[in-house]
Amino acid sequence: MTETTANSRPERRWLGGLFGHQESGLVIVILLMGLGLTIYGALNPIQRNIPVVLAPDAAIALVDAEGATHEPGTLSRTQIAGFRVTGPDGAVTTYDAADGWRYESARRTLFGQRKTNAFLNRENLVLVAKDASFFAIMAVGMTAVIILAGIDLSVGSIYGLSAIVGAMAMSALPSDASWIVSVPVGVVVCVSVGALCGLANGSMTVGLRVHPFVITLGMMAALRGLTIVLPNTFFNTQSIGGFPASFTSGFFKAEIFGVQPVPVLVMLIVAVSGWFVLSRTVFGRRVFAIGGNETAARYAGIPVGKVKIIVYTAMGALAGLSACVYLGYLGAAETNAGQAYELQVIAATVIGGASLMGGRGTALGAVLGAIVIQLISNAMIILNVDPNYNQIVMGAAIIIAVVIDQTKQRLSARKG
Amino acid sequence: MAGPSSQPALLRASNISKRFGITQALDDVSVEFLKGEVHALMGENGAGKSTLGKVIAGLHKQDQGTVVIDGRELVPGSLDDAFAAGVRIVHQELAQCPNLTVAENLCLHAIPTRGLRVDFRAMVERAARLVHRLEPTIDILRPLGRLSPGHRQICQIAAALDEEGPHGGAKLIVFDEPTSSLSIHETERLLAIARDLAASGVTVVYVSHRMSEIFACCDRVSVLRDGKYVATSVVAEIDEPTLVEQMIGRRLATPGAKAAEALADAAGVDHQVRADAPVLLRVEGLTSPGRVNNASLQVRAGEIVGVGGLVGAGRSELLDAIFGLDTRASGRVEVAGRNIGGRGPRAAIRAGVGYVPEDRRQQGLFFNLGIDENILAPIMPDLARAGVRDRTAEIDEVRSRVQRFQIKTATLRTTGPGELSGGNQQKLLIARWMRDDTKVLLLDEPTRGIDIGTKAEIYRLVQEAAAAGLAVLLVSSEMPELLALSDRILVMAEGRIGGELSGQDMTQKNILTLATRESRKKNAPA
Repeated sequence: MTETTANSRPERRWLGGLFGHQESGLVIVILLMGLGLTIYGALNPIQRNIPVVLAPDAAIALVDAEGATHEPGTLSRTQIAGFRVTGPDGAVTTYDAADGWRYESARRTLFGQRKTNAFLNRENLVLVAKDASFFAIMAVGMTAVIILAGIDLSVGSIYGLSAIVGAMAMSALPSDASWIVSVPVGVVVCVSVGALCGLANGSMTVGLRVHPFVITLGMMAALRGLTIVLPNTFFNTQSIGGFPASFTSGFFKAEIFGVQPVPVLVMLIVAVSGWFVLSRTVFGRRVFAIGGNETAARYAGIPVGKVKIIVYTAMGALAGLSACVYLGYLGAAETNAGQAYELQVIAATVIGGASLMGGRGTALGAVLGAIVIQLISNAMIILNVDPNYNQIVMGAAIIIAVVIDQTKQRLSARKG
Repeated sequence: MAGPSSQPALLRASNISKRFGITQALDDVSVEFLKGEVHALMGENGAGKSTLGKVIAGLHKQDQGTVVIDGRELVPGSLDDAFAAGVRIVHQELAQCPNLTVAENLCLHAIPTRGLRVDFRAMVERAARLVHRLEPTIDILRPLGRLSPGHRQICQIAAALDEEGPHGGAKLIVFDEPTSSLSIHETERLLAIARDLAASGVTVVYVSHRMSEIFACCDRVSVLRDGKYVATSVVAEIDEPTLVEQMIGRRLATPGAKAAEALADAAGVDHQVRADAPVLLRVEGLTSPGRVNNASLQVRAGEIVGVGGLVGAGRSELLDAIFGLDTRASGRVEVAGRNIGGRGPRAAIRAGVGYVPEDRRQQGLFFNLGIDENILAPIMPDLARAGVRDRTAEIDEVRSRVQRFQIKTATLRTTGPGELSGGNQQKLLIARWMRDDTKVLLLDEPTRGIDIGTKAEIYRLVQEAAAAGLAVLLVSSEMPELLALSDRILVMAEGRIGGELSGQDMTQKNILTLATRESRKKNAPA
């Protein structure tokens, strides 16, 4: 072996910085998918109902086939060729009746349809981001579990149970409860339920020395059963709603600038925290060490059992948090909430670059993986594909992602 | 034993060059192998001896050069072509299925069938024919994973001797570091098999860096250094210092002595144990069912105490129990007067115990992490503030240890231990434990699989540690190493410390006597 210095292979470091990380590859994939969907969406625009409420001091005039203007109410529907709105600042906008615009004078509102890009519009992007958030929050926890060379199949059931118990707590609150009460109660209840389930997973895996696959498979079934039994027993219903408005539209579904950003914000906070814990704390590095070589971790004095239990507990807590966001967003919980989410969450994690062999993965990758998965679902809708094909495409995507990742690993191992 | 050099070569490797990334593993190497000889390929780790063996056997594809057997040129990098031509390789990484029986493993490439069913009788007969001529005591119906390492190795050799292929049976077998995981007796058996094979006309290419094995069983020896061919000699006509000089390219200080002793002397660090030095490690009545039996010992500051014994005598188990990894162990373990028995490895580490385990790949290194985190694993919490890593402090610490222990690495963070040589991996693991407040160092086979140059460095590090006042407990299967480094030697047999040797009594013969005594006593009444 010859002695080498730190700057002896700059080209690899440079290339590594650009393509070496799973994250950059995923960003490229996301951008390409977005680009493709935008182009398709522009070529096949969708009609969207849009109400235009006139400003109090705006003037509206009816336009006939010759282009002459009339007062509202003076023309019959067949004679109207369009509407001309003059804003308070003198700006004039015309709405063509041929495009489907009509006017309701009682509400001073124009109703019509506007063609818009099927993918690149605010509503659709917010939908993708929101749906991705639910999975991404859990995928961050799953990344830690998978770095440990573990697995948690019970996330969907933990999510469901947390949601149901959280819903029971929320519906018990008075409907005019302040957000200072409702939000902490909801978060604490959901996260605690999730954390307890995770603690059970971790303790059993470590204490009984059973592979987490078996433990969490059992928990997946048991917790789902509990999720169904609880509301049946206490509420005699499959769905629980009637939460304080401060918990739903007042917080988790709060509208800011026309979008509902809270789920995405929660996801970002979780992702940044996950990144920080995994890469910048002693605990995080111990997770990597255990996943890389558990025996060596024991020989290095790392408390393997404790770390594992904490990771599974955190995974459960994050599933609970995700359930809480879902509760607040939807305003109700059903007993089948989170059904089959383990597939989506594990898929997001694996697409995000975590290795099922352990020792490798990032929180950011998990979030990007969740976005990729959600983009795939969204693409199926935009491309008008039968939603039943969704699962097929998802399955293929997981396999392709892992194959690409492994090929990359092999190539870089050979280079080194 | 004399090499019949007048006879034509069976296999000729000519002008072989092979490059791995930035490393020129082989550089224009030419070697001839004669029919029926045991031909050693020697060199330090990274000298290219294993690579040459693998090129001959078709496991690696050479960049340049040819391999010719019986006048026929082999297809480069084709294991199948080499196999058909009668060239076989036995090496540790070769695929075996530990869950299958010996018979199934031996017939994996062509399981005999009758119709759709496996013909178990034919399989067993075939396997028995192959294995039993080498070692009749192997039960071929046992799962391979339940055999001893020596017997597993023999099964691999048996598989290599399989007489199939258009050009007849095996003509040349490459043994790649065959004894690295074998006990003394198993090694002796293996060497005998190599001699038998040669006597029956098969050429054995013996890749090893164990001096004693070369002199015990090889006819000729070719030395490689840094990927280049140095020389081929008849073993009977060469002595150890000359061979070592060929391997490392410089003459050692004391010719004639055992290589290891010479190296230990060359390391040149004097350490003397003062009789009044404090006892840093005291073990009393340490017992773990089935592993360690009532072990008591003490090591003073500045003392190196060797632990000898055969493989399976419970030496590693003793160290595991001292370090607190064995949860079933009971007894007192005192470090500088504080009892840490039964409190786990973290208590041991806090008390100042460092442990370099036997198998650095399985028990020591994190291959998914960088050099920095591999070194810092046990002390990362000490460098952190409220659990958040202090990267500056970390990298300062790592840099100083990498410099102090001369670990050759490209970078501190992005290089993983997989990119280091075996010797540097071992230095890394020693560096991991060498804090200012380390009091006791437990070393298990610290030079296994390490080239001679790095061995000398490790010896120096061990002696420096003792000179700095640490108590060192050293387990080693290499007798010269044990004898050269230790102030006293404890000999273990069947989990028990059977005796202690010091001064003039520290001889290979005495160690072996003590190591085998226990089992003899046990067998006597039967």
